[in-house]
Amino acid sequence: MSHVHITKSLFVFTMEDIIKYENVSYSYAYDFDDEEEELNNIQVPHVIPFAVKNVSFSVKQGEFVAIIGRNGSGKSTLARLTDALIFPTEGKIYVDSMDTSDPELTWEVRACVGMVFQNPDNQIIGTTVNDDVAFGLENIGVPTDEMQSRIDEALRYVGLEGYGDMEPHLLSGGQKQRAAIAGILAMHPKVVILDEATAMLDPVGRKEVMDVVHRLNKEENMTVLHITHHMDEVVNADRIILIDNGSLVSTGTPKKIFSQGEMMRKAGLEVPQVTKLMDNLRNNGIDVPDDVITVDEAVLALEKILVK
Amino acid sequence: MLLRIEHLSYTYMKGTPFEKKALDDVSFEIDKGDFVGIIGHTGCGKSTLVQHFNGLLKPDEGNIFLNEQCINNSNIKALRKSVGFVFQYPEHQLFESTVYKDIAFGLKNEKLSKEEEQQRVIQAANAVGFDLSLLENSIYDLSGGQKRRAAIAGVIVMNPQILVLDEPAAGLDPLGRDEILDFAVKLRKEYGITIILVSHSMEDVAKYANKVIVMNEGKVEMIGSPGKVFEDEDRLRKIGLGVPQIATLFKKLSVAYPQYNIDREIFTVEEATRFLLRLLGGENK
Amino acid sequence: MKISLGQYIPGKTPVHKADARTKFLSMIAYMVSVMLIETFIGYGIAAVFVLATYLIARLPMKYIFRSIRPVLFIVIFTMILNLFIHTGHTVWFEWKFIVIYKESVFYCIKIALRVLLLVMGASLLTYTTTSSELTDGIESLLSPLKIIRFPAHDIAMMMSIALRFIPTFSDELDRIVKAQMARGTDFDSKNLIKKVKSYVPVLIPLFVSAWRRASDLATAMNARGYRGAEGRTRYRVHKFTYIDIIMAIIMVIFAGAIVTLKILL
Repeated sequence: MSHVHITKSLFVFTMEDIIKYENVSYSYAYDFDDEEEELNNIQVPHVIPFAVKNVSFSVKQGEFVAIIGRNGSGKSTLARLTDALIFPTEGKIYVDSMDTSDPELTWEVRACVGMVFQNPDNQIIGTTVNDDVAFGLENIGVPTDEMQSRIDEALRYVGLEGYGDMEPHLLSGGQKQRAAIAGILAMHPKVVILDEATAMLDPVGRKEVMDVVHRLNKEENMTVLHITHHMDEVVNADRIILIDNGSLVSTGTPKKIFSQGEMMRKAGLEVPQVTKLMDNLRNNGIDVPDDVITVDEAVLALEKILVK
Repeated sequence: MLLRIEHLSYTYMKGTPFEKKALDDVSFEIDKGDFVGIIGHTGCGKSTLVQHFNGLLKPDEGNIFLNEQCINNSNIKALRKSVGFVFQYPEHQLFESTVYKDIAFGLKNEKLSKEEEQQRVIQAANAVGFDLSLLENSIYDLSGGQKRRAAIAGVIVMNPQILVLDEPAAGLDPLGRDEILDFAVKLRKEYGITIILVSHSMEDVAKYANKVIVMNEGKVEMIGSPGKVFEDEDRLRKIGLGVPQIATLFKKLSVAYPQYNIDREIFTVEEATRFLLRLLGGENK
Repeated sequence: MKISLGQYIPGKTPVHKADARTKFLSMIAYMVSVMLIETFIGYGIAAVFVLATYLIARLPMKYIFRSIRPVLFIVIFTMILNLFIHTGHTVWFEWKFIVIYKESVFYCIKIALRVLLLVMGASLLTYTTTSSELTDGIESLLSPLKIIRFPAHDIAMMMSIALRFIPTFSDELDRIVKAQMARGTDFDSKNLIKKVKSYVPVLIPLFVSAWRRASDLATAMNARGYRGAEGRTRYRVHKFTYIDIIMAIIMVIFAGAIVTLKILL
C-alpha cells in the first residue's frame, strides 16, 4: 500500500481510514457527460465553477458520517466522486486504499461502495424485486447458485422478506428505497452512500430507511455516508461534514455543528427547533447550554432553570 | 363559507380487482382567507381529496360547494380558473420555449391584450419572487428553485381564489422551502387567496396553517387549529405522523410542571421563546 | 393509480412452467400455421388447440374475452366492410344496391377467425410468461447472432428496462395531463388540430422526464457495476425440461396437421 505524503493535509493517514480525500477539486467543465445536477443552483455557463473545491477529509471504517449542505452545495458531487462515477479534477481520493482515479480500479471501487440515489423510480432496473437485487450480483459475476441466498439474506435484512416476486412499482417509496439498499447489500459493499435517498419520502418512509441504515452501521459496522438536508436525520450521526459552495465549511459531532447556529444559517441550513429555542433564550440572558439538539436534552436543560 | 365538502367518497378503479376506496365520507369546510394544511402519509387520500376541488376527479358520492355553488355540475373551465392547482415537482410540467410563454400559458383562453397579458405575467412572477430579468430565458437554463417559482407563477397568473399546493417544497433545502412557503403567506395576505397546503411535513404545516386537516385511510382523522391537533401527539404518531419538536417539548414540560400552567398548544420556536421568557423572567425577579 | 405490468396471470401449470424460449417459438409456429389456414376445418382445429391450452393453463374463459376485447371493434368493422366490398358468385341477399354473396360471408368469417385466433394465441404467451422471462428468453434465442456482433444482450436489456418503466411513465402521464388540465388545457376539443396541439404541453414534459430518468438510470446502473454483457452471470437460468419436449412435440403435430390439411384440401 502506497503511503501518500501530503504536506497540507490536516489528517493523518491511518489504516482505519476507508475514505480519504486529499485536496480534491472537481469541475463539471471537464466532464461533459455529467453536466446536469438536479436542482443545482449553480448556473451561468460562461464561467463553470468548481463544484468541489480543495476538499480534504477522511472517514473511518464503521463511521456514520452525515454530509449536509444546501441544494447545489456540491454534496452530491462528493457522493459521485467517492463511488468513482466521476473523477477528481485535482487531488486524490482513496477508497479502501484504492485510488479512484486509477482506471484499472474503477469497477472495484464501485463494487466496494454501494449507492442509493434520490429518486426511487429511477434506480430500479429489475421487473421484480428479486431481479432488481440480482442485477448488481449479475454485474459482479456472482455464480448463479449463490444468488438466491444472497438476495434472500439482503431482503430479510431490510425487512422485505417475501416481497421478492413483487413488481417494484407496487411498492411504497420507503419500500423501494429499502429494495435499493438490499440491491447494494447483496453485493457486500464496505461503504453505503445515501445520496439524498430520503428526500422524496414521507416521514414513515424516511424512518424505515434510516432504521435500516442505522442498524447496518451498528450491527455490521458498515461505513455510512448520509447526504441529506433533513436535520432530524443527522442528530444521531457520529460526525457531520458541512459543505457550502463546494468547500468544506466545518466537520464535527452533531452537537458541535448545531451549536454554531450562525454558521448553519449562512450555509442555508437550519438547526433543530429546540437548538434554536435554546439559542433564543441564551440571547436573552438565560443560562442554557448551547449543545441541545433533542427534546429530552431540552427538557433537562429547562428543568435546571425551572426547578430553582 | 368558501369551500364546503359534504360526505365525499371516491373509489379508484371501481369494479376491478384493484379497487381501492381512497376517500370515505369526508366532510369539512374552508373559509375565505384560510391557510389550510392537509396532512397525512402517502396513500391517506390527501392528493385524491384535493383533486376534487377543481374537478380533476369527480366524486362517487357527496357534494362540493364553492361559494355555495355545487361544483359537481358547474362549468369546469370556470372552476379551474377559480381553483389553482400546483402539483408536486411543478417544474416538471414546464414546456414552453421561454419562461414568459410558460407563465402566460394559462391565460391563452382569456383573450387578453398584449399589455394586459404582460401585466398579469409580471404580477405573477413578482408574487413568487421570480427574477424578472430571467423571463425571456429558456426554462432549461434556470436553477431548480427558479424553475419551481416559474411553474407556480404559471398557476397563480390565472388569479385563482383558492391555491392548492401539493408538496410545494419537496426536494428543496430548508432555505428554498421557507422561500416558497413564504410566498404562499404573501399571496394570502396581499391578494386574499385561500391557501390549501398538502404536505407530510408537520413543521411546515405548523408554521403556516391556521387550520389543520389530518387524513388517514381516506377519512378525516383530526381537524382543528394546529395547537389543538398537535396536542394529541400519540394519535398522530399512531398514524405515522410526527409533531414539531417544540410541541413535544411543551407537552413534556406541562406534564412535569403542572404548577407553571404551561400552554400545551405552543408549537413554534417564536411562541415558545416568548412563553419561556415570560415565565423565566417572572421567576428571576 | 397502479396499473399491472404486462398481463401475467401467476400459475403453476405446465404452460406456465415451460421455458419462455419454447413458448415463444411455439407461438411463432402457431401464428404461421394460423396464417396458412384456409378452411373451416383448419380453424376448428386451431380453435380447439388454443382453447385446450387455455384450459391446461387454468386460465378462466373471461381472459379470452379480455384478450380479444381491444381488437373486437376492428374485427367487426372490417367484417362489415368486407361484406359489402368482397364479391362472389352466389347471391344470398339483395336489396336495392346492397348485394351480399355467400362467398363474402365466408370470407369475412374466416378473416375474423384468423385475427381472433392470432390474438388469443399471443395473449396466451403474455398471460403465462413474466416479462423478465420473456426478455431473457428472447436474449437467449438471439444469442447465436452474437457471432455476427449482433448486440443480443443490449437489446434484451433495453426491452426489459422499457417494460419496467411502462408503469412509471403511465403514472407520470396521468400526473402531467392533470397538471395541464388544471392550467386550462382542453383535451376534449372537437377540433382535430386543436386536439393534437393540446398534447404538446404533455409530450414535451414527458420527453424531458424520460431523458432525466434515463440519465439517472444510467448513473445508477454504473454505480451497481454494470458494464454490458462482459463478465456477467445470470440470475435466471433456464433449462429445458420434459415439459418443453412435450410442448415441442405437440406443436409439431399441430403445425403438421395444418400443413397436411392445406395440401389435401
